Amino acid sequence: MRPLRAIGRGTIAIFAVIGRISVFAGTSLYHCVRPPFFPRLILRQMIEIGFYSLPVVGLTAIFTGMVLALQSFSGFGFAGEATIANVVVWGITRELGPVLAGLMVAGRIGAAMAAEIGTMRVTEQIDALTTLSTNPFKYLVAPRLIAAVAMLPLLVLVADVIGVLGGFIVSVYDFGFNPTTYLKSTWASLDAAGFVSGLVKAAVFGFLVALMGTYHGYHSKGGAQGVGQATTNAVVSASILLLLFNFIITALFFAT
Amino acid sequence: MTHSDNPAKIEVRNLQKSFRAKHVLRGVDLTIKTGESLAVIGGSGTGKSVLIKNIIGLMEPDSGAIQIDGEDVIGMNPEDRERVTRKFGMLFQGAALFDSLSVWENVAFGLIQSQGMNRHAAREDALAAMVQVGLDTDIAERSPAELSGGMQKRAGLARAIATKPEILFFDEPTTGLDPIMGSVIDDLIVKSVRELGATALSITHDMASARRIADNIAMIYEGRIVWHGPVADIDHSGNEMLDQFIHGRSDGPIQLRVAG
Repeated sequence: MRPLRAIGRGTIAIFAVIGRISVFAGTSLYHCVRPPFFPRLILRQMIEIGFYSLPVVGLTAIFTGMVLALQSFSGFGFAGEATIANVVVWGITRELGPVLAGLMVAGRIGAAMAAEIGTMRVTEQIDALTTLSTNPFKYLVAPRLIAAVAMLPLLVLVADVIGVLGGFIVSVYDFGFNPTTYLKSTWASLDAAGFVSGLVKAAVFGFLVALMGTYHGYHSKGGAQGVGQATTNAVVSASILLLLFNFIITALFFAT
Repeated sequence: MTHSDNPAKIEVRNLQKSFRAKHVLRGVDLTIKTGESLAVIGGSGTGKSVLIKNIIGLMEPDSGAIQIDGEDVIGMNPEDRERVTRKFGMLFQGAALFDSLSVWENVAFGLIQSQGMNRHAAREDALAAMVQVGLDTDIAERSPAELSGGMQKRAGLARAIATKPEILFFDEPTTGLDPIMGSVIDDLIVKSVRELGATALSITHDMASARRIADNIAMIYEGRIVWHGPVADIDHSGNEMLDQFIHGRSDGPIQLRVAG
């Protein structure tokens, strides 16, 4: 009976976590659409998430685009501009742009959110908000969710451009392709569905990263160790959920 | 000062709260009259913090009743609860100042967010509150991390009184401070409560502080109020538990469970 009991206990625990996260997400979304709003806080979070993540997302994108071009060239043997451009554009806009940007932001922003809110929790700052008649969901969680959902698509847009540029640099300066022909092939390879799916993924990933960062921070306990644990949990859970939802969104857009 | 004829500001009836198998509050009954300053004393883990968190609304009790100005607050809808919370001001044990805001923004927080005051007017009021608790206005732009423990407590007190609340809560106000600074904070608490005409509920295990700030004392032990009376009576209460606690004796009816 022991293994069955353990399986049962584990299953109940998993559903309890899913329930808690769902309630947290529902409450957060309610406060995202219900005034009062905090435009200063939303703007501050947008700068933190969007502007300060640009270097890490840009570097990731350019190297990924370059590697994609190199791998395509070596994998397909000699392939023309059209093939390489097609692989780079599809790879970057549909998958690697949103996924890698999402993972980078999960590491940078999700961890920071969990650490900041977790520290506020263990030092009673969140309790202080309540005693000052300020709802912590409205003041702490909603601005982060709104900012992340708004900024991730913009970051992915930038990542798409820089990633494609990386492929262009390798193709033109290493393989000696004609730049005009390569650019024409790149433009021809762009498809609306792939591009839009990438941006939809980015918005969903932004929501997931902010949700996990705020959820784990909000529920952290036990001092510095608890905050450290919350930070780890935020990054790991956001990364796993991000990959899961990447599959789901891809299936919704492209499964025949 | 006697407040026995005043109406009850806070009324707690048979309050119970458990965390899994641990019964922290086992039926607390407490009445705090308007204008009264009550200190709840007791050792660590006796339920002081849980009691104050239930009254403020940071925790939901398992059963019992809490009334503020005659209104039942348990199960209140969020809008009404927020209206009641606007009557509160609280000084936390570690001050709980917001790291991301400057000192004046911390003090003005309730004025801006809760009372909808514009930032310029709120800053003026915040600076006045800082002066009231003996803080130099030169530190208004500093971050809370740059302040000493005593200054953080003063800033926390300024934040608590800035909105001119009807009820002030003090959670271990002198913990972590040296005796002189503890005394200074106590004097500021007494002065602030008097100037506002507020009702005050403090929790502390510091007897010197309790004697200075309270009109009445209630002692909590194992989740129940075991003695409640005027501060002048605590030295001849005839209650063995209170005697043991205020004299800090290890032998007596209160047995500390030491692991190991």
